[in-house]
Amino acid sequence: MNWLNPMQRSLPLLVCVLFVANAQATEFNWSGFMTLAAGKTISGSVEGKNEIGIDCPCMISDFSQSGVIDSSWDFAADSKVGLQGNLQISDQLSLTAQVVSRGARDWDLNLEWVYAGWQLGDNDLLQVGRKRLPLFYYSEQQDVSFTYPWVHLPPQTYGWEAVNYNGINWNHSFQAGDWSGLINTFAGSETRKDNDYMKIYNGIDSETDTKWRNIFGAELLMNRDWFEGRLMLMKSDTQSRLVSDNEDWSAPAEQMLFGASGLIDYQDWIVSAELFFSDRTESYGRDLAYTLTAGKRLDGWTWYLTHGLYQQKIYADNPLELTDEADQEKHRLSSLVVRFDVSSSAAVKVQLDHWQDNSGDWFKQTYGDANAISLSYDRVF
Amino acid sequence: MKKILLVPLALFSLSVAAEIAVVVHPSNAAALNPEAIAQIYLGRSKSFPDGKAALPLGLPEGSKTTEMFNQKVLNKSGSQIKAYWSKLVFTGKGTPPKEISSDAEMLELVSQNPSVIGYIDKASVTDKVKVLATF
Repeated sequence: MNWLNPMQRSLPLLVCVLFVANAQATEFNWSGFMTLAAGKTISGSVEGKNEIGIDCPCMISDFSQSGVIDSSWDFAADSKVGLQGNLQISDQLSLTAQVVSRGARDWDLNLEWVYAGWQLGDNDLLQVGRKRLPLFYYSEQQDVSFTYPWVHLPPQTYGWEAVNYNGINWNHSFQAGDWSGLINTFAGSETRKDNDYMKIYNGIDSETDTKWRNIFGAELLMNRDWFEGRLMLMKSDTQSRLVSDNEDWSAPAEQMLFGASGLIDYQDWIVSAELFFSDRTESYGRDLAYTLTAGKRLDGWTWYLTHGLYQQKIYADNPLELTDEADQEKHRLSSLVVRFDVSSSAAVKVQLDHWQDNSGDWFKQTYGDANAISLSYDRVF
Repeated sequence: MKKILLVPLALFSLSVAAEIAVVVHPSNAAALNPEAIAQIYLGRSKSFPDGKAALPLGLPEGSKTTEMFNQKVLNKSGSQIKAYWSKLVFTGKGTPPKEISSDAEMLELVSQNPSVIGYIDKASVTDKVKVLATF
């Protein structure tokens, strides 16, 4: 069992103490989400157990949580359940905590988020604590599958070594004519021990710690009628160490991340695009990823077609000494999703994925091409 | 003759039942277009045009009136609304309008509080509230 660390263990106690002490002045609400998903590869270019220890043909469905769909029906890769509690201590002050249990992490119970929120005015909200790092459009709701089209978020764009962070952020909402806007500025750091993302590269039984320090970033969201657009920019230092090899922390390497997305939801049509770019010259080079989606609603059913690309560029003489022939990663994923809304809070999805790999030798021989089918039942409560 | 008269009356009563009224306190001088009403109900705007606080209230999620309100005013299905609020709730950025159990209770709350904005079946409207718009 992956028990909570000491800081995380004390926080639920704090929540209970606060609740008891201020019982009359407080209001407690809870909400939850779940996904029961099953997936299997139908075919692929790699056969048998790969270097990482996965039975291929195989397809990565969730980089951040090392969710991999393999050659037998598997409920682990995308299934999860989460509960969120919100304690309204006063008109301005609230406390939020979220626990999640995932199949991809052996159903360990994890206190993922704990943060205090302070409503400074009608339009300003300050949050302090541990919460989701808003790298992508669907970042903050990435575990609530009910709220997005796919069984698993497009893996070409979604999923990096850091998912949550400890820090502070300030949300400022505003109106500009017919547009509603939100600016969120955030700062903090994240140390991820035994990082699941790294297991995809270093092996199921490996142990890698990663650190993102001096995180500074901002996101801007604008919406009007049927359109929503988003821009995100952040920078941080990155470090890692392969614990299973007794390594020391690597020297901090700066990275700059940029994201842009647009979503059109007009009558029965949905069109969206998301672009992600990283400058990791101080590590290996840069990454580029995008996802394009078109969808159509028809009587409770929604059909989506998605295409995504991930392309890494390894520069010559890079500090990590990677080579493009061996290490460069490039792959595309085309997906068809059919979703049926069982009720206003539950949906069933079927997804077909076609992963085409054009990577250097390592990724090609470890994961390669794959076709997969996934099914899910998503619910919010 | 009776049969011919009955048909138009039946049609008339059907169209009355299918309308919803957005209501506010009688002292509220606000004039809101459908877009502005939607902004309040989606949590994007927290005040009336005069700057006074706006507190939106809704009817039960599964009710016909709510379904119609979602479609006609918010332009979203029940699932889309749920997904929209799930996104905000799970990130601590907002909470959906409080649910009131009946038209009668809604009328009571709207008539007593100048900040409240609500919606009910148009047939339930009384002179205790002011109708902002009908759909």
